[in-house]
Order: sequence, then C-alpha cells, then structure tokens
Amino acid sequence: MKTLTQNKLWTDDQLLALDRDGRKHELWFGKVVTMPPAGSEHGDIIVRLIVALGTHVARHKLGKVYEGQTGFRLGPEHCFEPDVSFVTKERLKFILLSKEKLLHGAPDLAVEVLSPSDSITKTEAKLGLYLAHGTRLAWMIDPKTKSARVYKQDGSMEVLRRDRVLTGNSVLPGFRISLSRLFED
Amino acid sequence: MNTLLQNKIWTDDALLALDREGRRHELWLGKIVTMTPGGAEHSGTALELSAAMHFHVRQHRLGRVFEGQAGYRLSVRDCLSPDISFVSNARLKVILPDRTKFFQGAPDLAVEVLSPSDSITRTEEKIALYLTHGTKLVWLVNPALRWVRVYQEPGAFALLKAGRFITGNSVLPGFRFSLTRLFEEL
Repeated sequence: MKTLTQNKLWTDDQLLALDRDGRKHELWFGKVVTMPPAGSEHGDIIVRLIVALGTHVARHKLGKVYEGQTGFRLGPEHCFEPDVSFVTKERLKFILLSKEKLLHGAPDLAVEVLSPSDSITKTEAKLGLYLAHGTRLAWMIDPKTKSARVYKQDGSMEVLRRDRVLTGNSVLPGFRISLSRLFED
Repeated sequence: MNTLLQNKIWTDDALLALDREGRRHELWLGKIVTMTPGGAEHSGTALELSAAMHFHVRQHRLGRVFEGQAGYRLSVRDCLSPDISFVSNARLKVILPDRTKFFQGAPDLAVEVLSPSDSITRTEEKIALYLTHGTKLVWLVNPALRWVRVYQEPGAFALLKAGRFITGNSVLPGFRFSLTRLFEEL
C-alpha cells in the first residue's frame, strides 16, 4: 500500500512489454507481482471451465470468455489476469478500447483457481477488488478441497462442495456446471 | 482513448496539482475537462439532497456521503466527481487506500444534478461509466424540469416526477426523499 505514495506509474505498454517467460505478471497496489507457473490440475480445471463457459456464451451470444493471460486494468494501481473471465457484450463497449491492449475495467465474471502455493486470503482480497470495480460474480475454485466459493457484489459469500452446482445467475443466464464434473479425475 | 494509446497517463498527483481556481476538473476518457461553477438552483438542490442523505447515513452508520469535490478514479483514463456520492462502510475499506488521494474505484451511489448548460446525453455517458465500474445506483436530477431519473444499469432508467419519492433501495436502505420537497422554490 506504500507504493501508492511512491507514485511510480506503470503504463499499459510497459506492462504488456514485460518478459513473460511463461509466467504471469500482475500489477497489485502499484507493484508488479510475478506468479509462478501452475501445476497440471490447475490448468485442467481452467480448461474445463473455459470449454463449458465458452460453449454457453457462444451459443447464446452473450459476450466473450477470456483465459488467464488477458489483463484487466482496474485502475492505475491494479492490473489483474483472472484465470477465467467473462465480459458481456454491453460491458465490452465500455472497457475494450483496443484489441491489442488491456481491458480497462473489471470483467462481469472473474474466476480464480487456487494453486497449492496461493493464499486464500490474498486471492479473496483480489476478488474483493474485482467486485469493487464492477465484477458482479466471482468464483474461487479450490481443487485441493474440491470446493468453490461464490462471491457476489452484495458482499455475500457461499461455499459449495461435493455435488453442488455453479450457476451463472443473472450474469450468465442458464449456465450450470456441477462441481463433480469440474473436479472429475 | 487517444491519450491511452499515446501512452500518456494522468497520475493522481498530477490531477491533484491542477490549479482549481474555484472550478472542478475531471479526467474523462483520458482528457481533462473543466466544469464551470453551477447556478444557485443547482447548488441548492444538491445541498438539499446531500443534507438528507448525510443525515440518514450518519444516523444509521451506513458509510459516508461526499459532495462534488471528491474524485473517483474509475479507471486509468477516468477520474470523475459526481455532485453527490455515497460510499458504504464495506466499500470504503476497499477503494480508499489513502485518505488524501482519490477514491480508487466508483461510489456505491452517484448523483448528478443537471445545470441548464449540461447535455443529458453527455451526462448519461458519464453515468454509464459509473455503473460500468461498480456503482449500483445513480440519480440524475433535473431541477429545471423537476424530474429524477434512476439508473441501475447503463442506458435504462425509471423516471420519477412530482409527488414521487427517491428511495435508496438496497444501496441506501431506508432512505426516502420527496421530489416535491427536493424541488421546492428557493
């Protein structure tokens, strides 16, 4: 939080020009944070979600689904790359300035899949920032405990386990995926 | 949009250092926009409504109400100051990391009071930005024509006229203010 007063400002181009080397960089309170690559389970779950979301969104022409390399600049101090995200057509008009650049605003749906090294508290803080900046629905998926946490803009949080179902609510009308399918071996 | 592509960014400090000279500056789509001072009707209406909101919010400890000098950094290219704004306790913790700087995000509720010189279309564009970046409720007040538009998503509004009440919904629970009182003659 001290970095706010240090006042070093990362431009979009500087962020986009960072050497990725297979890793993900995010801007968090004005500082660039580099994330280690994740294991296979993490990637597997992300792909399952993207396939299910992508199919639903394409069929109903709801907007766009993005994978974890797409940067959302929430403000001067924050730029995140959620593992999976969805932006409605209506919202794209406001936050998509140029196809080669970062999106300038939060996605409608943000999903973070926990890696063994991820802290739940930090990930929750990040989802809190998404929600404060306009995200309407956020999911934290925990492969270790085979559970999902559902966060909404009204500040509510619900933990889903076993055979419960993740639903798109009003953000992604009609979308459903069961946790048993998401965590299938 | 051009300024972003040109890679020029207005920092909070650069914005805060702008000479105010009694006027308000906003950063809108990457450009500095200077607003003229408002007339008596504008100011009177804004004060009437903000005083009622302030009283309600303090009484029920819901958060804080701010007047039109508070800057909200909605995105890298937008820093706007609604005429009145409300931020809930929960949201204050997230969007106000430094009390001497701008809010780093949008208010829960934003109110714009139209002056005769304001364009409704342009004000609606601003309202759409608030709603895109996390504002849940916007009231657009038109003292000249004595109506209030209530927005919860960009481009769609409910129109309120004389005899009706502005209500806070889930954003400002319990708040109710009569349009008749709001538009009382000065």
